Amino acid sequence: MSNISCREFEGRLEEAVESRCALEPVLKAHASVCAACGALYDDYIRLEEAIPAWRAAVPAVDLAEAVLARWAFDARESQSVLQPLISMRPTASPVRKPAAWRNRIVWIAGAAALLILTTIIATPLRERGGNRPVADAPIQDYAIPVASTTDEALPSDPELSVLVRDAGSAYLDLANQAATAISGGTALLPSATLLADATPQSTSANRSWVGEFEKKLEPLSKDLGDALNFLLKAPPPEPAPST
Amino acid sequence: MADDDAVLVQRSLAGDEASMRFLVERYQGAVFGLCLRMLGQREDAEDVAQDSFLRAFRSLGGWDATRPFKPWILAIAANRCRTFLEKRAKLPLSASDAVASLAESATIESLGGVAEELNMALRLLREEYRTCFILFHQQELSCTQIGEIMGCPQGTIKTWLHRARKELASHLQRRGVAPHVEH
Repeated sequence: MSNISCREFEGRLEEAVESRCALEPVLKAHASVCAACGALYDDYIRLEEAIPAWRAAVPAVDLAEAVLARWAFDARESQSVLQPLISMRPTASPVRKPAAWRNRIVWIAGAAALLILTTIIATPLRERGGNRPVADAPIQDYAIPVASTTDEALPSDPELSVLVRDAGSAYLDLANQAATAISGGTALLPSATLLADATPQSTSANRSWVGEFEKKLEPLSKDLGDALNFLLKAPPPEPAPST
Repeated sequence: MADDDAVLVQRSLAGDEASMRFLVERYQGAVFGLCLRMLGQREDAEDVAQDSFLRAFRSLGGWDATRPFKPWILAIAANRCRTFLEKRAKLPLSASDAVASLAESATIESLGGVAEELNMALRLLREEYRTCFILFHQQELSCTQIGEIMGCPQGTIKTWLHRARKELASHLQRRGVAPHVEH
């Protein structure tokens, strides 16, 4: 007869599982006289009988070749992406076409430049005479003129003249930043000469994008020039509202 | 073995391809076994096992040479499996749904015996229970080591292990697997 409680039976059964030890005879004895613990015991045996066959059923595999090939591939790929950015020299990679990352950089630089130019141009034209254009610190240091409603009164106002002049300077700064962004974007690209050295067959294709890009920027440049001229020559027809 | 592993790791860090190959060959059985039991499909398991080794090589410098290598690489593999399962769960009809359906409908004989029956039942478990069960019964790690791998206290691991066993045993019983016991 067993002289352990059901709670003790369960605890010792779990201990046997955790320590991977064989069951004590007293547990089997208790299981034979207690239906609830007998069910736990059956579950234990059922599983212990299934596990060895399950454990052995893992098929053999040889991953070494595949892992090392992927490791070498990754190493080559990381070199082909990083090296041009570091040395500004194109690398002929057998696994990735150089044109892929170049096109990506061109489009990112172009998108950034367009965004900046659009912001510069669209804001003053849309809000002419409305809210003060967003610019850097110099403008914010000046008080906004109030209650002047006639165009004739504005040029004679010295404070407003200063405001207009500084607004123009701020726009010029922004334009400079836009130009810098474009230059930065194109500087990341290898020069046409280097490209010609590396990939002789791609010379004309690699040069053509510069001309296309300049053509796309022409109308924006014209608009920017007009906007700057307008700002430097004429003050806004209506003063900004007081804040 | 641990000293051996340390030497292999040092050489691998220095770029020795032969040492990397030794490391893969030594642990591919454990890593692939874990991935296969976690994912249920051989192709997926091979991919994730390869990913695990690549991850391990990338962070080989972070391995503590005073600790065993096997739990460390199994922890990486378990994480990769978890990520893979999360991605797979987002698919319209996940593989686990198909497995669940198959596990309920197929007969033991058609599944290839009690081992495959247990395998099917395993795929129906919660991921934590499954990982715990596999690491304990297939990889034969201790509850302490499993706790380190899964980032849980030992007590939690024991609880998960016993719950996993209970659910699996219930499944086997429902499926007509009888124990060979005499009361």
